[in-house]
Amino acid sequence: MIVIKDLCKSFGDKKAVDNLNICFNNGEVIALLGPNGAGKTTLMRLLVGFYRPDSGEILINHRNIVQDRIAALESTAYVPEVGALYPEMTVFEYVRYMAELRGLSGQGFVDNLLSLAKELDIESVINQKCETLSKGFKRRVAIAGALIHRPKTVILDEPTEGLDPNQKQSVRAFIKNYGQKNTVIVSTHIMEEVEAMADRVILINRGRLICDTTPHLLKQNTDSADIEQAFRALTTDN
Amino acid sequence: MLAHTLTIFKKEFNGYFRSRLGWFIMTIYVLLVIPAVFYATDFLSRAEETLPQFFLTQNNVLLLLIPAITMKLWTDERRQNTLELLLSQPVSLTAMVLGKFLAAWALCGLLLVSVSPLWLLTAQQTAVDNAGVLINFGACWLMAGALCSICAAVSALTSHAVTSFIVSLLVCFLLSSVNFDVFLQKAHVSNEVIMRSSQVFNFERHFQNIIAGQLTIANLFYYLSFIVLALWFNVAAVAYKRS
Repeated sequence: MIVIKDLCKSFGDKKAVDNLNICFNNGEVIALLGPNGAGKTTLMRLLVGFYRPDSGEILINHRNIVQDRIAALESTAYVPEVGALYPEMTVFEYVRYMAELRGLSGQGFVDNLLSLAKELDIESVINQKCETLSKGFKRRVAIAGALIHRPKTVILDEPTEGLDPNQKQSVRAFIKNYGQKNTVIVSTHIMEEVEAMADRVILINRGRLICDTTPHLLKQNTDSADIEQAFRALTTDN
Repeated sequence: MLAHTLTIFKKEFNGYFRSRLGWFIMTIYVLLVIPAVFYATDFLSRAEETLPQFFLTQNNVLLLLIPAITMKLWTDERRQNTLELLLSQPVSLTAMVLGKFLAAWALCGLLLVSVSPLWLLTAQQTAVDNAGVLINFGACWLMAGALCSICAAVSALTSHAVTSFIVSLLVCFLLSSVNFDVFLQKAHVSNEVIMRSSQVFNFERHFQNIIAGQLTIANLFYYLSFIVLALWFNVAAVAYKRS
């Protein structure tokens, strides 16, 4: 569970996150929506302790991300927007490195790797160097590396970016399934994805919370036929 | 923290050889050192001068190579977009900095070990003070550690490997060549405290002292405190860059 209280973060004069108050519960997939520059990536970077908030606090499983960063991040995983892999490593070496950083080794690592490799369909490239992978495989390997220790909270920035329709479908199914027992926060621009996997939608614009509801209620409250229409209705200036 | 440091150390150290940078640096090192020593001393006729000559060249050779060893430590994390990933792990900045520094320092150790046959060859030709040679190897490694620690901090502050290399080279050059005594003499400063302080902070002097057989607590303390200070600066640099 993540609790955000009065969170603010500015870069110079620009308020990237402006007084946010949100609670993310276990067992839900949350779609984080907003136009470009709305503050989604900044919010996610604040959630994983990459940035320090100017004011307010973030509690991950009752641990403060600033005061108790390491303990708060132990059950949290983050996959940044740009596929962050070490090109000279093989997929196996990369996932093992991520596991070791999380204190996971031995049989626990092997079991998790086997099951994740199957679920994310990366078995065929396990001994391949990361630099030789296609964009779709890179994305899925990054997810495997982040989830190797089976974290309770997962933060994914554009997880299906660069995937083909079949891969998108399988990654969405995987996220939906993973979110049944854990907290999964997904930032996306693909609105069909929201309906396919999200239990809850959080829309932010200019760092402020615009709405926090379910996909169904979002459409209903804005008299929209789909999420994209609702998104436009809530984020268009005029 | 120890386990995280070890994990990062292993990744970085293996990375030198995965990317071939480690092999390249080792080759350059051997190519620079061996001919220089053999030509300078005429090994076959004056073998007793080989090892002292070897140790005297080490400060210049390491000064050239250490910026290459450390240039990618942090700049590559930025280039590959893995810095965000690394900094979102439940790992302290100290463990990250320490792991990377130790990998660079271990590679320096490997460089020195790679030319150890020179010691054996010399010992076959002439009498060698083995304890002295061991201490001199230790002095080279200690100096390499000090240079690695400051160059790693430079890597954390710069965005590109080439920039990191050039700035590190400049820093190393300044560290080893700036002789405050000369400035003080030119400025006609004769205050004993200032003169003593100038000697205490002279990077090169401590190395030359150990090579000359004066292994003292002061020399050791100088290098170790230099390393600790530079690592602390490295942690601050990463934290600053993150914010």
